[in-house]
Amino acid sequence: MAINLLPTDLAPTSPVNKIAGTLRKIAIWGFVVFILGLLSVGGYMFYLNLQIQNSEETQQELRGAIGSLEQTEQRYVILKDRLKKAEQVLGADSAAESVDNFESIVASFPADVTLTESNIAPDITELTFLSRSSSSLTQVFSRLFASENYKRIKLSSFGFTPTAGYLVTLELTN
Amino acid sequence: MEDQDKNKKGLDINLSDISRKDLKNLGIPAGLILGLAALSFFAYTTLSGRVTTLRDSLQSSRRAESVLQEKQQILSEVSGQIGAFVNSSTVSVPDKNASLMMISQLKFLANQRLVDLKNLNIGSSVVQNGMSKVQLQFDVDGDLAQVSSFITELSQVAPVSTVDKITVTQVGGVVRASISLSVYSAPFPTELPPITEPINDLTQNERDILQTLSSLTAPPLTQVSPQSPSSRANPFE
Repeated sequence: MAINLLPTDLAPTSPVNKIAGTLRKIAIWGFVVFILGLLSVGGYMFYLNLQIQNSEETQQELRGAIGSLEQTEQRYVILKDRLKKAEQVLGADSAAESVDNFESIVASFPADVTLTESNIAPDITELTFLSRSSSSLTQVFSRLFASENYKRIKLSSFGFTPTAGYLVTLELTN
Repeated sequence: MEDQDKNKKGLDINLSDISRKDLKNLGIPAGLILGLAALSFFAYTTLSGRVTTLRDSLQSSRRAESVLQEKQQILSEVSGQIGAFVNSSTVSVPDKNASLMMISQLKFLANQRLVDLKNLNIGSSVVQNGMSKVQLQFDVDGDLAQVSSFITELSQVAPVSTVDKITVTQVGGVVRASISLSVYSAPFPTELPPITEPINDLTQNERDILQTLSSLTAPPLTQVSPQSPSSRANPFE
């Protein structure tokens, strides 16, 4: 019977042992990668926690700073509120805006034309005047038509008496 | 032939030739690999959830920080001028007594424009769009230019008002304007928003309104200038 005097480590490796060796290497490398991965994730989580902590500390500081500006904040809230209310009022139509146009018309009346009554509302002005002559009346109409202050001019009433003259009511729309 | 048989034996794994020891050598690393795979899967599912939670927390924290920072910046910027801004705006839209303030303005304007202020009536307060509205009715007599100037000036004084209607009559050279004027007041807000609520800077529209309000003439009633100290006479001399 032949005796194998060769050292066992020189003996040829069986296929099973070869596979086992490969698996062993895979296991070792896999374990190394796992540990490295775990360390990386752990490090990343530590970094995130640190960032959160820093952010919360900053928030605390900011809260303190805002707290010291509490009076300013109160005033700011009041200011914003007042501006909102003022906008409502300033945006509303006012009859005062029509007064300049009204004044320019009446101021340009010829001497024998007198204002009887006028009702001025935000969008419409009702003007009643007395003209002693037709030429003055024509003058008033010409000036009115030439001015670009009104979108619409409506003749509401027109009357004539020999003693007083022409009584005219106009509706002027802005 | 024998060599070929030998080679064949080197490549083939004969199951009957696999010993227990071989199985053990194979089983341990295979088991380790399987265990490692299971552990990796478990670690992935657990840690990925935790990492996502931490990232969301960080994002939320940074958002809150940004809101607080912006708020602190805006408040710091306006802190120098906020007093003057609030004065102008609260005189223009007071919390109460807008009618009294306006009456003092009317008298002041009437003196300035040399018109006669008459028949002043104060209507009752009506709540409209969150504001109290009071209607004042009064007559002013003067010449056309003076009366027109008076009416135009009403939009230049505080508190803010709207002229609802004007009836103008003329007798001789005297023009009488019967004016219906509305003044407004509103209670101040009583609650501050939470500290974490964002604050908006003044918009351009708000700045324009503020400029308009700052240009309005405040009522003489609210303007109290401090008196300069005067020398006191010695009663014992």
